[in-house]
Amino acid sequence: MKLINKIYLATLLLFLCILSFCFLMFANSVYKKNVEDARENAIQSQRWMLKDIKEEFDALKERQILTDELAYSVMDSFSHIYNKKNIFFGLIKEETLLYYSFPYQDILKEQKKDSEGIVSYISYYGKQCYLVVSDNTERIADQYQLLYAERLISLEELLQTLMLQTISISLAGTLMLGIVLFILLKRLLNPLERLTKATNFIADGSYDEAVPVSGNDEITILSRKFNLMTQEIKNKVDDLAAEAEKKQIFIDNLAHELKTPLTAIQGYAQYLLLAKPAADKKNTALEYMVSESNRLAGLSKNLGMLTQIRAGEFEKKKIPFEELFRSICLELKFMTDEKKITITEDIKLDYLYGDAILFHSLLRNVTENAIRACEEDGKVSLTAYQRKEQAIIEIRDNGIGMEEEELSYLTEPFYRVDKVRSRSNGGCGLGLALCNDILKVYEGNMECQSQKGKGTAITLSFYNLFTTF
Amino acid sequence: MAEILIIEDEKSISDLMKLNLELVGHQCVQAYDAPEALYHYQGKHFDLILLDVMLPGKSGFELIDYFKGTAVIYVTAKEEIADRIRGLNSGAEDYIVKPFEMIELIARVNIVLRRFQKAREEFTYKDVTINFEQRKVKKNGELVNLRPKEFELLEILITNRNIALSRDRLLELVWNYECESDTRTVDVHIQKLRKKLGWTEEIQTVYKLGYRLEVEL
Repeated sequence: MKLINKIYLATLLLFLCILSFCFLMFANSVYKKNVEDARENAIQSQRWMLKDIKEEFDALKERQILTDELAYSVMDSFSHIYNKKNIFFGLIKEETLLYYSFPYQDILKEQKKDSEGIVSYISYYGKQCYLVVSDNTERIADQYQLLYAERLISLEELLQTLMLQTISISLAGTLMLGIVLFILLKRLLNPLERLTKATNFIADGSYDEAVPVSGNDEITILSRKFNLMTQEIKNKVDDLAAEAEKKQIFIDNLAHELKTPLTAIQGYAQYLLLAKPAADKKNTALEYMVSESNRLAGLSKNLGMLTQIRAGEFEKKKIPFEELFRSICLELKFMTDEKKITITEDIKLDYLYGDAILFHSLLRNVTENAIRACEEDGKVSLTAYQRKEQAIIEIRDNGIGMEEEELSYLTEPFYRVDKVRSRSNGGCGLGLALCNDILKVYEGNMECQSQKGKGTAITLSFYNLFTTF
Repeated sequence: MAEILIIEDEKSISDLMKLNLELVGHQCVQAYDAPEALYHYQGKHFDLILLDVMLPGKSGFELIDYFKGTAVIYVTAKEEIADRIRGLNSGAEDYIVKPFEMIELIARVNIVLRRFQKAREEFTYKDVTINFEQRKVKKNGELVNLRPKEFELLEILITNRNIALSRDRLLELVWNYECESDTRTVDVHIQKLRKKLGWTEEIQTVYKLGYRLEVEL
């Protein structure tokens, strides 16, 4: 059974009990009061009767004709008159009941002694209610004791009415409460039901349903928060989807980048094996195999670095900048010699603080790109200095340059501006993506300016301060 | 045998295809981007075009419209079904996915060429002439009697000349792996061919690799 149903029924039951109880209490006090009133009246009435009867008996006594039989008939005649008025008598002589007109004899059972000598009590005979008065002190003709009983018709009616009223009012009250409570609960719970339905939408993946917000109670607040939460979830889900798509694109590109060198290596190896080529063709094949293998090696190395960066494992060292740059120029000498490119430097930066391998990669990638972009007799210039806590490194070249739109794709993994050239030179497109990731580690960023046909300038800036070692 | 235009931006792959196709007797011209391709296409007649889908600038799918009337085979790394279907729907004869084996490329090229009747009807080397259409072989003008499987074997050797073919490969291509055959069948048929054509030197046994019909380029 649902919680709300349990509460509902419990409330109704409780209400019924309390109402009945209150009413019973009330009924009880009303009844008691009535009994007291009746008692008062009865005692009063008994006194009068006693007086009358006493007079009769005294008169007989004086005439000295008083006998038990006569006493009996006197009582009888009294009874005839007063029985119709619901008043009954009894006469006791020496502990024995001489006469009685009550409908039953057990009426005497509840007799008790009272301090004043007047005993009055209620006796029930089925549905009938009698008030009995027994007076021990005043004797009639010094030998008889009078028993007086009055049937309290009105009290009987009262009792019945009270019972009926208690039951009917309790039930009616409970019924009304039941209806009102039901309607109220339904209205209050309606928003909750809508909320529950809305969660079904979310479970199915639809984040556009907003729960209507009305009123100003706890459920309203919940609804509002719920809508906010839905929005958050939607945003997170969208973000995750975008991330996943990015990853997928990365993987697709990677697969593609792998396929081409593999095709070449496999193809040339097969060619060398199955054909009988002349020496020059043999050399061509072998050269391609070497260069494509190198390409794969470079790709593998870059990927390794990207993974390393993501895992966050880097060292902290003090690296002399000028030395680093010179050694990179040496590494790239074969390229600069081939195209007769001159490199100029203006270095006011002493040290770099961080991971040597990462910085080496960063600097080499940017420099290599600059050299590749250049044509014969091209010029590459490096400027490096420290501005407050940042290191600024600028590399300019007067090479082929790029269009505006190409600049935004520059750091996407595997993006190459001039595919034919850079591939033949061994590039795989991960260089600048790697640089970007490296810069992120040092809270830096990269700015590019370029003009097609004129050249490119790349500015790197990053946090370069000696902190705790 | 045929004039082929290779449009592929990766020089290594382009050279690979050229070397392979020239082995079996085709003539190749190389183009590395769209403008170059159109330039060559307008200047010369080609029997077949090998077109890379992912070219810098224009995509291969767009370029194909310029080559109406010439057979085109797509060569690409994109292997998804969607791309294949798109490729074939756009009018190409075939769609090859990288990486591919030399023999596969040559076979597909030949199939397409045959479809367009560009495959040579005749092949002559030294003193032997083979007419594929009539299935007749002449040595020094005289008819040579070849059994059906011998002829088919010869045809395969010529189609894939200068390439070593393994016995298993030959079984597959000529005998379709029929139950009873095993590699000795190949050896026997090769011997017969050599004897009947007098091509003991020409049909080389390549150590560990199989047999190769060597034809000077």
